Amino acid sequence: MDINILIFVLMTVGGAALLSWPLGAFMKAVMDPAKPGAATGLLQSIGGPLTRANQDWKQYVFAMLAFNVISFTATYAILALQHVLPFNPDGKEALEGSLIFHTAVSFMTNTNLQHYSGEAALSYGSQLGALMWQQFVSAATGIAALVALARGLAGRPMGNFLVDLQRAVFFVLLPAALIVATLLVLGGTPMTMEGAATVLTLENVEQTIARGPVAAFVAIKQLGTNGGGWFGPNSTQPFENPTFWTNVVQTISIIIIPMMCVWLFGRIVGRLKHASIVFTVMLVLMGVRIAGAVYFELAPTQAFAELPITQDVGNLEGKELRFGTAAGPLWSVLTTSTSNGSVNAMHDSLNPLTGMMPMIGMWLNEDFGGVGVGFINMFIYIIIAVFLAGMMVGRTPEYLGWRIETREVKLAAGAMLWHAFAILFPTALFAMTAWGAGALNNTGPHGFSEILYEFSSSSANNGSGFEGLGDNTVAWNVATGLVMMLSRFIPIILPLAIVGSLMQKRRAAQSVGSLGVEDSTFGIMLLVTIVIVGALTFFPAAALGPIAEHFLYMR
Amino acid sequence: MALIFFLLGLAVFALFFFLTSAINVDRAGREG
Repeated sequence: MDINILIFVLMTVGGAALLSWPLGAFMKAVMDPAKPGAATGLLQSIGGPLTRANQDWKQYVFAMLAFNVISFTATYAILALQHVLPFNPDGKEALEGSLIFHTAVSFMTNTNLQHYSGEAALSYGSQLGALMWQQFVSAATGIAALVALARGLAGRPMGNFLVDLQRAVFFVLLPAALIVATLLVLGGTPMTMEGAATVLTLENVEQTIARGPVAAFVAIKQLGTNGGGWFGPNSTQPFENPTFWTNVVQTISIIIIPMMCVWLFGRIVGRLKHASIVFTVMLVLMGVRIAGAVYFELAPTQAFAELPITQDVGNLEGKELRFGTAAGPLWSVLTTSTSNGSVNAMHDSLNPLTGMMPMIGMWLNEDFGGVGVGFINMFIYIIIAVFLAGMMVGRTPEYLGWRIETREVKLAAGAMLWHAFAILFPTALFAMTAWGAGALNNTGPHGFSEILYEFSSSSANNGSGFEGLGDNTVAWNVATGLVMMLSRFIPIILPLAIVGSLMQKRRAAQSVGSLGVEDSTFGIMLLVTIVIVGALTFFPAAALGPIAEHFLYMR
Repeated sequence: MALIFFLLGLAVFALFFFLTSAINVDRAGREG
């Protein structure tokens, strides 16, 4: 392997991992302070009883849902009425109904799957007032849910949703977004409220160049594991990601907060050693996929196999050469590991097995996963792993002193099975009907991969697209919209219900009969559980898509 | 059409409220 690739991976992933430790401590201090600060007091004086009381798991979920109903309604209204609202310098028209539904759901659920092109379809008011608002509050919702889960597991009251939401927005996301946006502006990303520029090219023809407050949008797009781009081509677009260094800043921004969330959890439950084991498992799973993606992408594209072209630097199809050859596959793995969904290369052009690596990331959806919710997904795997390990060695299945029994395992299995169902069932449905086949630009295994990827991206709340799909149709907008919604809230509601169930019990003291969760044995058990469950669930679909394509076309 | 799709979104939220209400974890401590 080229040493430059190794240095690039170590610089971005290793740098983010190192930074996550002190920043995780900061995140704990602001998200779960020993004493509520002045900002919390101000919110509580405005919000009254809604913001003062500690909530049980149901109240916390109801508050989260109610907030999202209001947020969804406001986003929907702005998108539907953008043609009469301000901040529309280029005169953008209203969107079609199913596309409004899809876009509002997509951004509310932290998915940012885009069936439109931002610069062509949306006003500045829609991008900033509706979508960027959602990029902040959807990420904050995930962080709030994780903090509630961790407090419950620590044996404390879960807290108050609106207070946690406010802390996540004002003390974590906004400051981080300000720093990243400033770096992006310094790197050449536009930040203006002026409309599109009209210029005369060297050929003496007029060209319209879209621009806008891009840096602000891109900063929270990456930090909040949102992924929705200002421009249709996302981070491949030179204004959205101008240079190698803006690419480095964005790459670190993609994974930093999901990594911080692991330490946040560890500090709230008071088990940093356990958090370090989970962090290591996540890093190993992500590292294997990065290595796989970079390795498989070293093979040249078979599209040019018959052409008299020397291909000795790997697959260059669909890559942005200003970032280097490894940045595309690395980014594809990082964004699909973290439910980010932005792209800096065309995923449709990745070699077949490289393209499978992002899909695996979305299928597992826990290393490091989306902001807040990534660790919640890992919590589901932990419950299953602890239960299996307990059964295997004859010890009481317990996690952090809480006994894991039938009800908790049923709820965990429900969350896990839902994610698999939400990917595989609609993929099968669309593959066998004109809804899917009629939208494809490729046939055979690659066409199947395009459908599989779209639903994987929707259910993982990722938002990246394999592309090659004509997906702005009523059927696709409604189907992926429903999958995004259900797969966003079911995997938050059920884990919080598990914690609510555990909190009904008496917490046991650690004894020699307890199953340890702070040693390498637990780490290996967790790793094996994730790999086996993931492989058993998704291998048949992978065999029909990327694996079949590899054996058919790669020579 | 936009209104119909908006109502679809609200219907899914109604499902979440129902699901959350329907999950009863109160008896969990007496199981096992």
